[in-house]
Amino acid sequence: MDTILIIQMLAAILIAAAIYIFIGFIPGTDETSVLLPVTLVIVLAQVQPMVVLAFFISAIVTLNFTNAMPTALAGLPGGVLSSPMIENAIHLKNQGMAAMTIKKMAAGGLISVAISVPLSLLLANLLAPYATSITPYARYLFIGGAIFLSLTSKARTLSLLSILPLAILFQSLRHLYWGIGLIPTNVNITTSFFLAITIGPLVHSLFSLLNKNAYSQMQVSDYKTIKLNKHDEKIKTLNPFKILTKKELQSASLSALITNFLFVLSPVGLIILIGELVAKRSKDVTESAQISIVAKAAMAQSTYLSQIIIPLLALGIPLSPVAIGPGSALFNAPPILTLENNLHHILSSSHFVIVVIFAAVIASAITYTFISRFANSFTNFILKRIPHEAVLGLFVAFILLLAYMDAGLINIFGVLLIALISGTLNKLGVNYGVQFMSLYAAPFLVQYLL
Amino acid sequence: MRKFLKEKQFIEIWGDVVESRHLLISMIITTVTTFSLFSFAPKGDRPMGLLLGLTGAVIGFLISVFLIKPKRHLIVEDK
Repeated sequence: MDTILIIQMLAAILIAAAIYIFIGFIPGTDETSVLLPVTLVIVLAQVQPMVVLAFFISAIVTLNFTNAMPTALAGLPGGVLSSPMIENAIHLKNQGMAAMTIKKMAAGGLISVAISVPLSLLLANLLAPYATSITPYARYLFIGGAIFLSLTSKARTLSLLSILPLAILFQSLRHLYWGIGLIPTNVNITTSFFLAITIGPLVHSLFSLLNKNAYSQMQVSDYKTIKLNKHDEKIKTLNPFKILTKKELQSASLSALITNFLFVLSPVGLIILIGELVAKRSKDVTESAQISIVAKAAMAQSTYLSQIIIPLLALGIPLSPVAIGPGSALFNAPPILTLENNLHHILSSSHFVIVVIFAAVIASAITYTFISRFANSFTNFILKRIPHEAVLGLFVAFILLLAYMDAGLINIFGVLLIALISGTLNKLGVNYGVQFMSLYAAPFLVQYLL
Repeated sequence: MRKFLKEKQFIEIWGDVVESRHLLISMIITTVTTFSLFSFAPKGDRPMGLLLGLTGAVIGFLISVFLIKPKRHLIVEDK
């Protein structure tokens, strides 16, 4: 590793932290939509693989820290992972404890990074010898994953029933594009299809606006009233062990530990499941909400870190919801990275370990300090200055751009079709995990149907 | 649709309140800036297209931020 490379990595980590501190504070910025396009640009620009990895690790650590801020301070979800935290956050905010909550959530996140980085590197190392025997079965793992995620979701039967129709939807569009000669038959469109799934619920809501009945249901009479607690300076320390109570510390550490082993499961699903379990550790409503929200903030970090580190270091195939969604550009971004030649194949294990630790430590240090000092004033600034309209407009433009770049004008409507269907299924309870797995398993599933 | 464009109407979408006309304006502005910048990329240069497109999206976002006021009442409580 030469000095220039180290400087580039450091720059990538700092840039990622700066970008995602800002994005994280904006409510409603979906993780996949803000991580995937930017990572894709960097990969396609042929930036050094180590620098790409440093950027991505810094981005997810920063984003998961800062997404908790609008959640705790304003009761608006920072991203998809913060939606399960809203109920606890609003309860604590109504008790006037928002300032305390953000410090506790940040402390929980920090503990989780400290546990998850070494643990997932270790798990990846243990799993790596079996990689050659696992990889040929990847297609079954995707199919199995779709079935498993369906079985563990709330809408079990509906999810199972939607796997094959979704697979047919994806393949039919791909075959259409191949058939009319729009794209070569060796190219599999995935990026814009991923984002179509991600943005599905938003597209569904936007289309509902064009329906009179649905429109009147979404109508409100006035601005949204958001109560912010006045900043209290009671906790001055930055030491997470002093900020967290014993119960909170145990719950956060244990949740982080367990979720590392369950790296193939959907992060939101895990956060809901384990977050509810740890909440039962206290009968007091407020204490229970605190334990739960700290554990959830910890799991936001542990799920993202383990789900990118383990599949990337051990296998080289995207075998987790994070690897399939927000992190997919690290596995597959043709023509630069493919499933046969991606960061897993290019980077040596020792380089991989160094980059991950380097990025996680620096990004955590920056973001943790930033949050402890400026969370209140920055949230205030964002809520006063950034309109929700601009955020939604940005998402729509993103998806239109990526759809157009993948397969031209026709794909804008193809993506719209996918977004409408997956958005509808999503509202009915079929989660992102099932839909992403179906997308990956689609080519094999359709073959089996013949 | 006509009503949608003429009157000031607030709707709650994705956990926050927007005004329907402003939402439409923001989507149009950001899409136009995104594709305007994208069109400057040489054909077939994917990274450049993506970079210019994303830059255009950010510019559109900033224009929307400048033009549109957030629909939020902020109350700072002293507890």
